[in-house]
Amino acid sequence: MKLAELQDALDIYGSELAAWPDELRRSAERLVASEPAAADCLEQARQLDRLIARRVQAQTPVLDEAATRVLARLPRELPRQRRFALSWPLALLDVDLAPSRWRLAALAVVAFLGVALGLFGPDIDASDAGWLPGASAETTLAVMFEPEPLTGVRP
Amino acid sequence: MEEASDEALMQRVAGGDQVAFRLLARRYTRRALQLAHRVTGNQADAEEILQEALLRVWVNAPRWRPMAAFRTWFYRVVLNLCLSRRRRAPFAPLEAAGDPPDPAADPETRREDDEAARRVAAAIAELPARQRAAIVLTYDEDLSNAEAAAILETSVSGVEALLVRAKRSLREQLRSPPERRNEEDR
Repeated sequence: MKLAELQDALDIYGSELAAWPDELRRSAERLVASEPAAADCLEQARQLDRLIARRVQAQTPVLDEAATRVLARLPRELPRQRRFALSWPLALLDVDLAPSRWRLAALAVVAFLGVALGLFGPDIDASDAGWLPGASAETTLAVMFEPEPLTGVRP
Repeated sequence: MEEASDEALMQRVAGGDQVAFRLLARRYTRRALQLAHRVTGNQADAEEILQEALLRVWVNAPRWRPMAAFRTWFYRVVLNLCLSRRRRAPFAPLEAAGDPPDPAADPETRREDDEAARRVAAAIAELPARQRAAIVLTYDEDLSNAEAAAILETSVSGVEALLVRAKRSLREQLRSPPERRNEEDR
């Protein structure tokens, strides 16, 4: 770590090194221990943080009075709320589509069943058309798969 | 009895429950007022902004989706109102006046420290609005950079850049002697 990087990290994460990401903290501690300029930099950052924090002195009575005023000024009759004319599509936003073990397991099972059914499931061909009541192979499947009249090609 | 979460209250507010709304408003008014005050630097503005923000919460509650924490959403509303509002009066940093003195320090050190604190407060007041907002969110509200980024509607690296620029300005203000700064101000 270089001095400029230390300065940037102090600005980003503050002067409390314990709150820094581990690796960055270790690099900073090494630099501060080895370079007096880095130690000065840390000391200045601590002073700046302390001065910034000093202005956060809560002015409790003023704030409490102001908060009471704001709440008292809220109208007794609140305005009409804005609603979507069609709110049901919003329900889709509540559907949790994030991957989870159960959802992935269900998807895998369905996919497996699909493949298994495709590979080992019963085939329906013209000879099975008897299961259609009142229909024969010629009037159902054969009609559906009639050869093309001009070329004679079957679909 | 366990206190209802913000999100549960918002669900009730979305259904038109005024009691839940007033409960939520009471829960956040003080802190949001502090946030607005520190960003705008004007008490009257802060109160107006908060009033408007609360009414927006009520009006838009049916459209609110619990994608982020209520606090993040509400602070975003407040902060956007702060940033879009033009300053009506020169910034008067409330912090510039009387901080409790450090009893351990000698009078000379205390005087110097008070002077430095006043300069930092004044310098923060003069920062560009988004840099000031980043300082207020991370120091005053004690939020993480990621939470501040969500409120400022930017990336974490965006907040980090704001903090770096803000603190660079503050350091420069602290380094320059007060007399020179006064001359520059004129």
